Amino acid sequence: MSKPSDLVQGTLDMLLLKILALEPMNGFAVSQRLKQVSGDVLQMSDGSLYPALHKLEQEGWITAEWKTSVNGRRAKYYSLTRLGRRHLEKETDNWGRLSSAISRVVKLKEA
Amino acid sequence: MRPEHWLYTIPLRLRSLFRRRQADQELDDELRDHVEQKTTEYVAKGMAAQEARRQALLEIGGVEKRKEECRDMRGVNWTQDLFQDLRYGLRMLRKSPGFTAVAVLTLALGIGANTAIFSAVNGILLKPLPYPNFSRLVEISSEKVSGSAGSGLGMITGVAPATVRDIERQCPAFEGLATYNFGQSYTLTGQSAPELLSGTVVSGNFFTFLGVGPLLGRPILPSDTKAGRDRVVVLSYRVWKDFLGGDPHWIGRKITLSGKPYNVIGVMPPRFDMEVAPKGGIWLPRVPAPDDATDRVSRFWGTLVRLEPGVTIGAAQVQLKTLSARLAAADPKEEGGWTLLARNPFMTDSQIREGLLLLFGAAGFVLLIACVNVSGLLLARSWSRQREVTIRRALGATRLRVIRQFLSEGVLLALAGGVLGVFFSAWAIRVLRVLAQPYTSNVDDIRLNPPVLWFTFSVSLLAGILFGLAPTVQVSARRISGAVKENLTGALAGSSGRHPRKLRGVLVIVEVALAVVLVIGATLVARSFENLTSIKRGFRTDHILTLGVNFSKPVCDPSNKNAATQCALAVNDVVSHVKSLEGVESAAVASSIPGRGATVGMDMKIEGQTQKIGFSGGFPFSERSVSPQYFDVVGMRMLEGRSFTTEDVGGSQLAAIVNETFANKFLADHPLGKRISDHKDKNGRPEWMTVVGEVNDSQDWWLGGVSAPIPELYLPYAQSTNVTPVAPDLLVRTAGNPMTMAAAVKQQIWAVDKNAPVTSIATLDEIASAAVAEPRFQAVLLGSFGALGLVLAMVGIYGVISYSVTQRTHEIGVRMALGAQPPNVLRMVIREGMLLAGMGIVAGVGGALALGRVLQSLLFEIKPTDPATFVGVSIALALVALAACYIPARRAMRVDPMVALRYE
Repeated sequence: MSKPSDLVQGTLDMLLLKILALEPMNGFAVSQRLKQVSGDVLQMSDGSLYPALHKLEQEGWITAEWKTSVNGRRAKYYSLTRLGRRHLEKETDNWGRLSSAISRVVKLKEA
Repeated sequence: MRPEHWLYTIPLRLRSLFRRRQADQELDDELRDHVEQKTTEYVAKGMAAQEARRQALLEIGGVEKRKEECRDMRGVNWTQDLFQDLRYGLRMLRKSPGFTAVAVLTLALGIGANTAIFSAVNGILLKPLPYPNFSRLVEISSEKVSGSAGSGLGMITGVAPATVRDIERQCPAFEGLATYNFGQSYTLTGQSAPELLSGTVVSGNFFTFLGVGPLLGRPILPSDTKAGRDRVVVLSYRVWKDFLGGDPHWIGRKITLSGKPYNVIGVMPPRFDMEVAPKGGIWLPRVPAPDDATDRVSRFWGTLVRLEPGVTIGAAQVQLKTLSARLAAADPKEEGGWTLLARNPFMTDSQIREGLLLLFGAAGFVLLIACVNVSGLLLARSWSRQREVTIRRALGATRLRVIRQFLSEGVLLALAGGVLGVFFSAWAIRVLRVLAQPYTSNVDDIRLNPPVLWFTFSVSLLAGILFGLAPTVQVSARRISGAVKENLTGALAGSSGRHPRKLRGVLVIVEVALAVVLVIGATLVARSFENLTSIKRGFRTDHILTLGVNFSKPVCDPSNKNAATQCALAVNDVVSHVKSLEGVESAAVASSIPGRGATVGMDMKIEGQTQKIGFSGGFPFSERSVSPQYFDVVGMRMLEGRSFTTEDVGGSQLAAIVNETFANKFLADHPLGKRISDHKDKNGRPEWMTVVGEVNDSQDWWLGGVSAPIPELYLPYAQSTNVTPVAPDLLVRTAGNPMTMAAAVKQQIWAVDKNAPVTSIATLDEIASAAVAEPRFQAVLLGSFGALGLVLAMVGIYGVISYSVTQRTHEIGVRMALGAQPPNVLRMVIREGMLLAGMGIVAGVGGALALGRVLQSLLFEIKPTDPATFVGVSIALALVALAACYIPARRAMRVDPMVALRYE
């Protein structure tokens, strides 16, 4: 994946938040889920995944907890916070507006 | 949402900061966990275990780097980085102890000097108001400029009662008013010794107006100003402590003031009397006089008002001006020429203020020189750290990061210098207090209190940032590869050294210029002080004890018909008693001690001349009444004629003695036998005094620098009718230390008049020294700064030249190998140094000429552009620079070409 521009980076944050809104999970699971849900179209490189997650944590939108997972090992589980939920709603709204605007422009018939 | 958001993240940030190791471990775990899981997945898909693991690691792309990025995302990096920078900086500084020691010491001297002066500025100029209620206080006085414009004769005095009422009624700018009149003396008797107290008579609302409550008892209230109820007194803390033993039971008891009983109603807290009354005073209520409403003549009421909130002192002044104009129009004869002035009563004397600010500026110069010095040192060091910088840049450090590293080192140095500087300044402050004692009352306020320490800290920080930036000229945005090639092969000399070398040269020039200005200023002030102290006084000050004797009414009553005789007897009695003491060589009495300014002579006629002399006539002279042995005691000599004797008493021929200047100016050099008169007898005819002697001139030091001596007239104490001093000064010449005789002399005085307070006990030496206390303060401090600046500049020059020699060792080796002789090399190095110094001196002389104006008011008998000083200082600095260049130059001379050529 090429280096994301600002616009796309913000969108990626939103996607991560959305995934975590569904259920708390650890970093590895997030990247798997993203690939799965988007049909392999959207994949984040492992290298940019963790810095992005830590940034989200820094902003206070997700919070982390160390839990013992199914196979007995300790793993860091991220979940959405109340602040994060509100941010996600806002971002989803923005995205909706943006994408419909883009669609409208793209659908313009050539002369 | 932002604040809540931020609050939420604080625990997170704190955790990252303080539980770093744990957080790091967790981060590590998290990423390794991911790699594990990825590996497992790939194995499940059929990859070999090793291959799977490799793939997983590849995908994450370098665990350490990711960890760094995650840490970056957490945003706590700047604090961690700061600590890292500081730790690294400390290590670097520890590695070069010599450099660190020199730098820290240099800074400590500069910062210490500034701290010390700032403590004086803070204590004397910036001192906060003693009570918050004093914040909008304004003092109103009446001013009249007399004589022709520019004659400088003016009077500032209090306000008359009727005018006070007008101010109260017609000036809305003020929201309260109280009056006081100090300068009344009261003798306290009935305690262990008679004491003279300074009494302030105040309006009924004075204490409530000021809003300061008493320590004990109650303050004066309006009810105390009714006639018959006004024999009450409020004491200052000092009076109560020193003279009544600090006994609280004095409240309600009576004390005897000037023969009358007064009820003690209250005692004020300790520092109150320093601000609104002379030290050690008492307060009494004023009963309004019946003619207050119309009295516009008695201008002796100090008037304090408080500004309405939001009104400036300028606006108040405008209202007062209007009022003055109105009064002058209504009564031109009485009010013409008078204006009402409003001023801040707590302003420091402008002379003292200017002096302190000048010293503050000079201290700033010293600090600048120190900073320039350290800048140069850092520049030199940064040069040798070029390699380190390049490697860091290659490893991915941003320019900002490297600059920040240098800055932290600079700040570390500065803070260390600041701490050491505080210690230096503690010692300096002790010296400052001793020097400032005689002329300022706020000596206790000159100390290391929190504002001063904050100042030190801020100055250190600023200085650190300032010279921390100097080495950052190295950190350019050049392509790394080029820099790496250049620097890692170690080709240090020459090409890439251009910028820093020029910069160091500029620094030296700046340093020398600053030092020149400082030293010129210091020399001017020192010479001025020398001029001041070398004025020929015309009398001796050694071994003389002076005391003020204040006769009580029964012994010497000026309203008595026979006052002159009576007081003369008292004086003679005292003198003979004192002379009988062992250890006393001679004693005399005078209306005022020599050098302190005597009474201003008013109207004097000279027989045979029409013009009048004296203050009104425009020819000032001073007048002093003395007892016969006066001239002997103070060591003045008779030039002609005779001194006074015991024959010169009331009833015999009136005698007078003049000084040389008087004789020259008014009596055409032949004073003996001439007659002068300053009053008329009962028939309206002038009563003549005959001049019987001429004495040498004596210099008044109170005037602080008037070079021309004033004409003086001396009259015998026993014959003075104009001036019957009830409170003469006693002068006692002792064989040994005068102060040891003080107690005995006091006893003798009390043997004659047991109710006579004795005041102002000091030796004439002490008084002479105190009179020049302020110029001495400035001369000592400025001199120290000058010396300091000079030393620092010398060290700076030495450093630069020395370093330059080291830099050019290779080049010098080449030159010598090619045939240059050692003397040529010596000359070359010295020339380089002297060129820099020369430019610095020229710049400094220019600066000193420009800034000289500032010193004008402080200099006595020497101009700020005094050529001798300028030339002398320039030569001195050139010699100093020469010496500083010499040592490195000799080192250059001894370079062995073979060694140098191999030196890379």
